[in-house]
Amino acid sequence: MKTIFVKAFSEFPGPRYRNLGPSSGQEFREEILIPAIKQYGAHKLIINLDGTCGYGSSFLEEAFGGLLRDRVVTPEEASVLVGNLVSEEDPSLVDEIREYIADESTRGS
Amino acid sequence: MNPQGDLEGVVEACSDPHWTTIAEFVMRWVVALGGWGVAFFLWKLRRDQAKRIADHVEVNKAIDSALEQIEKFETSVLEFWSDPQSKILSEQLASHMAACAFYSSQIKNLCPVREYPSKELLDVRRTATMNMEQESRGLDSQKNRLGRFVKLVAKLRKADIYQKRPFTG
Repeated sequence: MKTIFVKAFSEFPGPRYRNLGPSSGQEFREEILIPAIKQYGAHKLIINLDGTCGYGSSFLEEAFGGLLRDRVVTPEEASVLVGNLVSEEDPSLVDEIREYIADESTRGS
Repeated sequence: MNPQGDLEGVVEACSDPHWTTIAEFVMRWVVALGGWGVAFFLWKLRRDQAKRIADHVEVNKAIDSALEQIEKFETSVLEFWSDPQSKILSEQLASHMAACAFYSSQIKNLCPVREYPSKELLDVRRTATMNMEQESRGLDSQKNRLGRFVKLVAKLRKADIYQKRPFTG
């Protein structure tokens, strides 16, 4: 299993899109998540959300919901990925990402 | 057979100074150990109660901190969205939200039977921070969001985890 620490990407996760500011959800998805999924597979990734100074919902939606919109992962793979999310500091983050994945799966089907 | 003679023998044996000394010695130890046992039991009872009181005080302090943080967050969010000239940064909202989650986790750690308000927190975060870097701000354009936010914060405050309870011992 490969663990990705979001805090290694940025302690201050930013806005939704790159053009809105640094450390965006889009940047995290394109630079970190997609390469890792391609290298290790969605089922072998653990994403640790702890250690940052807080998340905006746009970052979370774009980073994780965007995986389904871009068809990087299937809804099943996305569910596995969400199952491997770690957030000791704020468990509501995992629930929120789960909702974005579910919304995007419903929209896509 | 001489029953009277036998009885006298028993009485004599029991009144032997050797046996009474042993019995006295044993009784003293029983009383002493019993006393220590009672003292230990009372000490443990008192210590456990002191710990429960301390935990109760800590939980209440954590609840105060969490509610204070929620209030600060609410004020910041209302100003951020209603006033386009507000100096509050979007990063501050995310940071305030993380602080609310942190204090809520503290309460949960101190009192594991209380349920972490995951659904309430995510609803509040989503309403407060979704597209905060790109949407236009102002009372007119964000009236719906602000109304929804105020309701969700009120719901969050009512979550079981933030309710103070009397000390029951």
